[in-house]
Amino acid sequence: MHRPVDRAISATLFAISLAIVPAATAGTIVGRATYAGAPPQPRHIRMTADPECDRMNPDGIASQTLVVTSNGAVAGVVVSIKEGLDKDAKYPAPSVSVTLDQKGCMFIPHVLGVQVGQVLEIKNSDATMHSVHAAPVVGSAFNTAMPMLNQVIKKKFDAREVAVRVKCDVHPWTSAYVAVVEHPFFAISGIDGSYAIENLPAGTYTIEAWHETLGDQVSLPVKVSDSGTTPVNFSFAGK
Amino acid sequence: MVTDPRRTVHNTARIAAAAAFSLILAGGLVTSRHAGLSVPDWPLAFGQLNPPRWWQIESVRTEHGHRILAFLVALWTAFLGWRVYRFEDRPLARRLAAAGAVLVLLQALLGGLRVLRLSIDLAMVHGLVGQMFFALLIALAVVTAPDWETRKQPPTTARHRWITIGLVLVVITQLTMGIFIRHLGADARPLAGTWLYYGHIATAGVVLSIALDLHRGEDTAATASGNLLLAAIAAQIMLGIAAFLVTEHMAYDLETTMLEAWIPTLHVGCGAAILGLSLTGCLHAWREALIAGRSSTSTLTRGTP
Repeated sequence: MHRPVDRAISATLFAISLAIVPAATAGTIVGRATYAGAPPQPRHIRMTADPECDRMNPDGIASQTLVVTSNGAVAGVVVSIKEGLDKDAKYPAPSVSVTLDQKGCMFIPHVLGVQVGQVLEIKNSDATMHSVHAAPVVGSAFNTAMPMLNQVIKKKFDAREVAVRVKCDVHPWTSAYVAVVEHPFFAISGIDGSYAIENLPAGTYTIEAWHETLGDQVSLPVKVSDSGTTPVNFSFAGK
Repeated sequence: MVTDPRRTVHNTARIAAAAAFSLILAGGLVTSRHAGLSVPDWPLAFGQLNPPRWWQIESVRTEHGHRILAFLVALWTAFLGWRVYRFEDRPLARRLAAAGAVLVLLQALLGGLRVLRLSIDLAMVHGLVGQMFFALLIALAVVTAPDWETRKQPPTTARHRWITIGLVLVVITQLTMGIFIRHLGADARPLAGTWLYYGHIATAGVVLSIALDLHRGEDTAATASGNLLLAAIAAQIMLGIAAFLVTEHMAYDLETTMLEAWIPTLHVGCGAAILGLSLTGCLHAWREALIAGRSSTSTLTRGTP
């Protein structure tokens, strides 16, 4: 557990790291993740294995594994800078934690990102027992009981990994992906497929886009200018 | 009415074997439903002896129910050990009972460590030791039969005796490969087409060939257990094919259907039954040698006046 003074130092260092790149000289990468082909029908999840989950979702819900809108936008794509950042630059973990909620017997959000060392708060908002089982390839796996309503646990990841799968083994249909990135230059595509990576120093970057079922793509090197906006789109082949 | 203590021990061992068989089915269901880690702590469950609503939630009911049954089997095994120690003087029975007590504790520890260490490897060892524990109790039930030393049975040849040992070893190999396929399959699908699948199918053919050879051999009388063994192998082949078909396109992130849960579980249970029947045949084939060994050991142990 961090002491308040540690948090203050961490927050200050993070602010300094962002201040190094003044907004006036910081570029932005924006883009959209799309699906080539007819949008697939999401699988339907029934929750009869737990009466409490079934009560909250009597008609079941659509799986969040692959969310493609009618106009081909793909949600839940992790877009991050893969190469091009100053190798000597340090990016301290933000003092602000990120929350992964277990609500309605699902993980919300389904895909999220944290920086290496940043606190991930995992919460149980349901009146049923859950568990949180994370299986990173790098670092230690954990499987923690979450039996109580409003229970919160805090976890950190020590190394980059896009992305760590998190499950609740009590409810086999639940899963989430936590993208662990060593810097703050990443984004998750929204329901319209769009994303934006802001406050980037001018430079040439390679960008990686990852999706849990569609795989990953790496862009060609793209040049980001001072205060400019550079578009980079990703199109995933339909399955 | 006077109860024969040996008969009582034999019946206790038979109940233990039946309970261990039901425990294998319960454990198989845990794997089929991917419920092995649904209770993240051990020996407690969600910090309690019995978490609330545990019987309402399928995965927790499967895993916690398996633990409760395992606890009862462990108690019964301890009771069996005490009865054997108290009423049996046959060294083989006493050794088997002692080994059973050790094995049930080891099995509980393996099950707990599998949960705490999130280990697939330990899950596979746990599955194999469960089969060995069941086999040990079958052996104990066989050798504690009151007529174990006196019953009449046709003489056996050396070839027949060694083939029965071979059958038991091939069945254990077959079970081990099956355990690998089940546990690795969930994480590393598809395993179909790998050496594990082909090996599993090939050894099934070897098991069937040996069983047929034993059954029709000139030196072997067709016994009821021999017929049962052949029937179990036939059922097992059909269950294996059915298990492959229902799990081939299984969605591991959705609720498990009844077929997906029970067909592979019955395949595991039938495998245990084949092991038990093979071992029974093997023990009967080696009975004279085991009794002779018992006589010499018994003399040494008890001494002479």
